[in-house]
Amino acid sequence: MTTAEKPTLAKVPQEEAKQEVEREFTIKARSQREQIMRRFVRNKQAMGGLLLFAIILLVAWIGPLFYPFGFNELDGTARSVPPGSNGHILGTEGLGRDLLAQIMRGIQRSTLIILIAVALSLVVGMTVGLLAGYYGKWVDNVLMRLVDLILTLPTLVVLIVVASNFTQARTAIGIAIILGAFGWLDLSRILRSQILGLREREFIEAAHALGASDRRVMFKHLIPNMLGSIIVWATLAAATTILLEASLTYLGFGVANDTSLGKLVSDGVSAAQTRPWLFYFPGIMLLVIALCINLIGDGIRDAFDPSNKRVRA
Amino acid sequence: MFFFTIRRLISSVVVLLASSMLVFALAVASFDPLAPYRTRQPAPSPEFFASLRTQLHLDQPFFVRYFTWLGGVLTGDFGQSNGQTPVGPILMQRLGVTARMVVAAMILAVLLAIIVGVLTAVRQYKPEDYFFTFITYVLIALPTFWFAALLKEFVAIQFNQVVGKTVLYTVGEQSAGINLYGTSSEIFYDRLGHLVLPTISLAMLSFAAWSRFQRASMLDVLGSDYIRLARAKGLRRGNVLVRHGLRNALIPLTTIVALNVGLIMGGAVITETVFVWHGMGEYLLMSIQRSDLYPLLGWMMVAAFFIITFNLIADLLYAVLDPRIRLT
Amino acid sequence: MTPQARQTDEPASGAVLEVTDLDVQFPTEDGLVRAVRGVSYGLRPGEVLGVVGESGSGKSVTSLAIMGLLPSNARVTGSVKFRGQELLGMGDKDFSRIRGKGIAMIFQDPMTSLDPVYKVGYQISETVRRHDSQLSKKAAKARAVDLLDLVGIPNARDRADNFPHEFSGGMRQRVVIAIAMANQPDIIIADEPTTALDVTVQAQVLEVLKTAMDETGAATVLITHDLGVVAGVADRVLVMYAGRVVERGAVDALYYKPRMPYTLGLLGSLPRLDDAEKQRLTPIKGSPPSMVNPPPGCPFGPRCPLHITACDDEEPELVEVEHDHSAACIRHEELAGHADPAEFFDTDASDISEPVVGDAIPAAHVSGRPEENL
Repeated sequence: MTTAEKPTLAKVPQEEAKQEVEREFTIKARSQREQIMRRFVRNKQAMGGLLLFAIILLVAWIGPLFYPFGFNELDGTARSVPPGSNGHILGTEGLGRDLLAQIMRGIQRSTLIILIAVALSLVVGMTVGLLAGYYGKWVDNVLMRLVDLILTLPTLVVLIVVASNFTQARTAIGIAIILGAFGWLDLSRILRSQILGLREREFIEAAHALGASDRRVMFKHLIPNMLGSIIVWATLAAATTILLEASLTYLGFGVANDTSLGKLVSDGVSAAQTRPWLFYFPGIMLLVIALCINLIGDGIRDAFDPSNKRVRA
Repeated sequence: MFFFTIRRLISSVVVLLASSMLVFALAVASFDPLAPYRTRQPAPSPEFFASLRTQLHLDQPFFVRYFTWLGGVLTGDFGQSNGQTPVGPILMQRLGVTARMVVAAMILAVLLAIIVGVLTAVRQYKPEDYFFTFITYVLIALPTFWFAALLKEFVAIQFNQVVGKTVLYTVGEQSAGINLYGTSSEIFYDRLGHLVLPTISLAMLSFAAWSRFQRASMLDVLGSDYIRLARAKGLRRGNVLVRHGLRNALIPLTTIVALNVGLIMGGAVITETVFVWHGMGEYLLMSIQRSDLYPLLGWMMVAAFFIITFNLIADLLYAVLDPRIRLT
Repeated sequence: MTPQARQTDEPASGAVLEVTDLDVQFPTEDGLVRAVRGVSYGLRPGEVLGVVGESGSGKSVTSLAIMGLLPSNARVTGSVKFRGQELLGMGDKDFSRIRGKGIAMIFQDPMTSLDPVYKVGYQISETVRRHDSQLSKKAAKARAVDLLDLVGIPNARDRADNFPHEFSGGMRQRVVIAIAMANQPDIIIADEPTTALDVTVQAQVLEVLKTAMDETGAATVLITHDLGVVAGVADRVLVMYAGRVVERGAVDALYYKPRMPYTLGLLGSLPRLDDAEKQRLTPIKGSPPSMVNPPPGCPFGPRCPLHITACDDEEPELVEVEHDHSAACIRHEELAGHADPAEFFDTDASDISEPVVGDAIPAAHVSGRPEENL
């Protein structure tokens, strides 16, 4: 005969000491985390993208310490020389600045832009999405109508108009803020509709019944369940940001004084025929970075939701 | 269905009005139309500024200015550029130029996206799938202007050399002055030659994103029970694929295409700049540089109008295609 | 000579469907899954065959294999003969002529079986016109309306122009049945047709199914995990476990004289309203084994109350225990005359998730919140 052992959830809980409400829900998240990580690691393209991206970042930040040329150093003896001459691995541009050094610096600035812009969009987007989805009714209505309204204008154009206003903000950080200020619209919609779905689930009802405050419900229960969408969005937003920044700069509204990867690419366009290295290297670099970010983002998406992998019935 | 349409129509008009207010606020906050004159040497007199202010209605409160402008727009008067030339006609003419590219690009992108999306879904995990997936990944990561520049600087020249004469043009939307001396068919082919590369540049990004979406949508549909039942009824594979598969899988695409109109407009601005077209893109950038208020207002209104219209069309189309939502 | 050749309860020629040694394997990330392992049976014209088994027993895969609707990575061997014609390996062009006309199929979930964008009448006409190209649209529509009427949809003429989302689950399943019977098939395969429905609706849909069988005179394969459903309808029953047939025979024989412990267990877990005394249900402990690397011996062994060491040596073959009744158990004689599941199976339901060979997740302990009775 068996003893009176109660059957339970499959995995062993690690934090039995914590409060009961937490235990019910956070355990599930924890064991899922391992599963998600494993799925991601098994995804060859995503891991490849991650590796390549890491290498690029590493070189961009550590490289300048070893590289003889500075990004702003004008080498009067070697202006516009092709790759390989005078120790300039990727050649130089019109004023004698080394292209590789510039690219490394550009990547640094661009990643900074991405971080700031995405972080800003994340904060705003999550706030708006949470408020709209959680409180519903008129709050939802007002917020979503506002989002819809802003979306009736083409994003790039709005960015251009705003950027043209703040001529003093033509720095990497300034551009990042502008990009972040308008990059949250998608996210708020995505989160809002997810919350509308989650709100009806029993565990939220249970949390309320146990007296959990709104903030607690939002932070402890809703957000962890939306982590997947948030992370996926963040990676794709990163890719979009870097491309948008390049476009803005090309049209003349982006980073002015400093350099960024986008600036290098747009500067290189005019030299496409005469000094092709200035055109190709930055462009390919931007392409590769955006590609890696996309692969990582897709890998994360598939790791969170593998149901779209083997669908054919 | 009828009431559904009416409701959506009314709602669109309301949104358009709200949008106009946003546009006005945005533009007015951005510009000081007097700015170009402030830095001129010799400095213009205060009376000049005063009269210019009155002329441009700058002395009046926000809402009065807004309604004046709005009233003008509704009667077709988009105001004047820098207080002189009327905006309306220029806007329309440039719109025509840009519209060619945008329409052609959208059609191209949609058709290719459907074909590639279906192909890669049906042949999931086979070589064709990997090939196109790779291409779409690259296209999505590509900066539009860089790709356009690539086409312009390299593909065009090589292609023209191979063919022996200039078929693909890289500058402008038509050869200068061709309206004066060309026959209609010459003009047509000339414009076509100018249209090819910009259209391809503009279409590629949308095509890549839409085809991946279509692939996912198609896979989703192909895995469903009703597809299995259709086969169990004895219908042939091809028939099932199109009649039941594609028919269902196209529905979400309409929403996506509508949502992306704004992006395409932004892309058009960039593409026009690369290929030096004298269309809406150039007009926008010019107006901003000159702090020219009314052209900017007109531009944004036109843009908002098209985006809202496309959203309306997408909503209606969705209702036509999916009987489940006609009740709302 | 295959073991199955020993069986004399196999229908002779005249069988409308003959399945011989059907074997289906799927390559997966974890290895090769053998979903169906050597299944054989015959179906006589007009006969109703109930196929019973748990989830994962291979019953659905078997019927999908018969219809040729398995995914392309499935490896199917054996023989499936429909009216003497071999179906396995047949090209899509020929096979699709048989589907919907010779053999029709009904699926489990009516909410997703119908295409949401086409009218219900159209979806019926579609199958009619596919198999009779001469038929005009009008005539096909009329036939669709007749069929809707036949399956008990009120106001059939108007309803034919409705979309699937305008019908309830039970109604949708009736439509699916109408589609199945549209071309007077010789065989109807109903794969768990009532599982997704409420109990009251189940009975109605079964009635409709009976109507369909009467109208078309088709032989029917009724797949289900619910023995209650089978009892009222079937002539013969097939019990499947772990991809094989473990007992086969006339319905009365199986219900009153089961000779395989699994069958007995299934009967025991079935609530009976016709018993005068109250009896406890006797669930079968454990869960079905993983089909990736099945250990030698009887796959039911770990869960079987009659298990002895000899059971683990090799898988028992299907042997005839009496006329038209076969079972796959080396101890089947001991079951003769003992039809009460409670004799062998425990009535204790508390350790349903006890670990079983090869698969199930071990249960962890929780210091007890009594409310947590999962």
